[in-house]
Amino acid sequence: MSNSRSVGGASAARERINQEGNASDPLDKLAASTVSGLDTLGKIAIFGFGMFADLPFVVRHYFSEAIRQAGILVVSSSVVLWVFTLTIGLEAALLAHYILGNVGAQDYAGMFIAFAVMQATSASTFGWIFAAKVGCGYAAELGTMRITEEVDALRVMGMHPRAYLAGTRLLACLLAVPFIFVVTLTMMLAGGWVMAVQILGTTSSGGFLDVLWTFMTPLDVLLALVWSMATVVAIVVVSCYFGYNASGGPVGVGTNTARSMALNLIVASAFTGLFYQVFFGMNVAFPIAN
Amino acid sequence: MRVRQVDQREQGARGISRRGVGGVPEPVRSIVVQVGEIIQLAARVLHSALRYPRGYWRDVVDECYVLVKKGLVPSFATVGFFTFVVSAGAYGILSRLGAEHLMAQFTLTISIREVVAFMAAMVVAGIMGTAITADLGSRVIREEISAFRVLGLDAERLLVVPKMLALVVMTALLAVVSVAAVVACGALVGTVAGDVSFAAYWDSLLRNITAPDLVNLAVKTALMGFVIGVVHSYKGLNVSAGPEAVGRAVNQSVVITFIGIFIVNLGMNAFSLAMYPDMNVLR
Repeated sequence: MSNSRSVGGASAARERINQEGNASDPLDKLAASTVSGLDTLGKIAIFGFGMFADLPFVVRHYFSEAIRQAGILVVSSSVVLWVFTLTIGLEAALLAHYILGNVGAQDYAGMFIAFAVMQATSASTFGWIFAAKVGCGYAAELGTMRITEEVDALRVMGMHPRAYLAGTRLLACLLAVPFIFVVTLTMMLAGGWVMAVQILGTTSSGGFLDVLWTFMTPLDVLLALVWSMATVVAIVVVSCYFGYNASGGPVGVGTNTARSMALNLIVASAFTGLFYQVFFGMNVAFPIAN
Repeated sequence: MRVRQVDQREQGARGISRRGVGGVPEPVRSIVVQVGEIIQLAARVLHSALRYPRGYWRDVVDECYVLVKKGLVPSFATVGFFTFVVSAGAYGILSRLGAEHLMAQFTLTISIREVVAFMAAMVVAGIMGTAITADLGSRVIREEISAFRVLGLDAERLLVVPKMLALVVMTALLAVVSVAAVVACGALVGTVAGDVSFAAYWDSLLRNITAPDLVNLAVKTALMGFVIGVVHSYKGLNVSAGPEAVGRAVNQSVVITFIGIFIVNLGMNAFSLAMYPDMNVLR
């Protein structure tokens, strides 16, 4: 029911299927839900391409709004992202202490941190927290504007609502998130250092840093940056789509926020698996035993 | 009686802010007041559910069904993909050391102790928690909660208690079932992509999986479900005015829930590692 409210084409497809076959047949139900899911994905893709096609227009006409959105992003969201990723670094060092301690390789805690931060968790955890803090916020904001008919008002005033609301947010993320993400990496490594050196005493500070810089390459930082930016762009597109196409009052906004969050979690995780295989395959890029 | 209690609570909060701790800066004070009110809500709901444990179980079952229907696929997907990456990394590191047949140990330790609980709670918070906040918030805006009060009904018992119990039960169950995704993805990485025989993987798995690990996971995620329910219900019931406030409440409650989930995770891990040091031994 919630699908048919926000996705018009899917409901038409479902009605067609219902007319042709028996609606209570589970196979038909499965087919209908598959069709509506694919329909939503296609609409999100079209919306995302539209956002990218709007970018030159945004740069020419709404650049100040994009800068304002970037400022909001930095001021209100960056601290939350940094604190959470600091705790991820703490957790990674805790695991390194126990796992490497069991095989007598505590001196190599830095290796574990370098792998865990650079190659495995930075982009995915950043993506989850970004989806929760920023993505949910965008979906709720745009959804509220839609149900209070501010989007229609923008159109009446002769503005381009999708470029002004979604395009500026995308441009703001493209401008600000790389810098936020680089600080995020620093916070993760700092969290690992604090837990391993200061709290648990796994290894000495010099030993930790020596191993860390040995096992971390500039290429890793670049790949993590590409990876996280792809995740962030997907999250912004999904949450802007669900916010921009909200309907059905405050409850509809809540439902669409929840749906965007669910899809964002899946997208961030799927990107994690995909990019890990693309960048690293089954090999860990370590300068030992190669 | 409920009306009187709520009025007393509001008066108390206002009185305190006027008199005793007026010198405390506003941001700190509002955080402390919010945390206190969340704990009060938790105590009231627990008292209501445990003192009169009848009449709401049908609603609990309904909520559980909704949660399974919406949460199973995202929960399996997030846990599965992340375990895939973790296992691939563990396989990479261990094959450098010539001990790739031990990879199940790493997969299990990292997944069961840290990742699965966090992911299941995140999925439940993202899907059901946001829906609860939006639902309760829009009821407040349409003054349905006030109508409950006028009719002499206890809105917290009717609306919050079933959802909270469903969250407690289903977060734990989703997390425990997601362990299947962990085992499957680890096997996929080790045997199909990697060079470990399935027998070696299975042997390492069965020697390293322990009952305290799973009990810790279940208890931890049940606590996380409770935190999710309380925070999202509190934020929904305390929406100020206007549809804009609902969106803001959803956003804030997700952030607060994440902080709560992390605190529960760290606390339970420290507790269980201290109680069962055997969980750490490589076998």
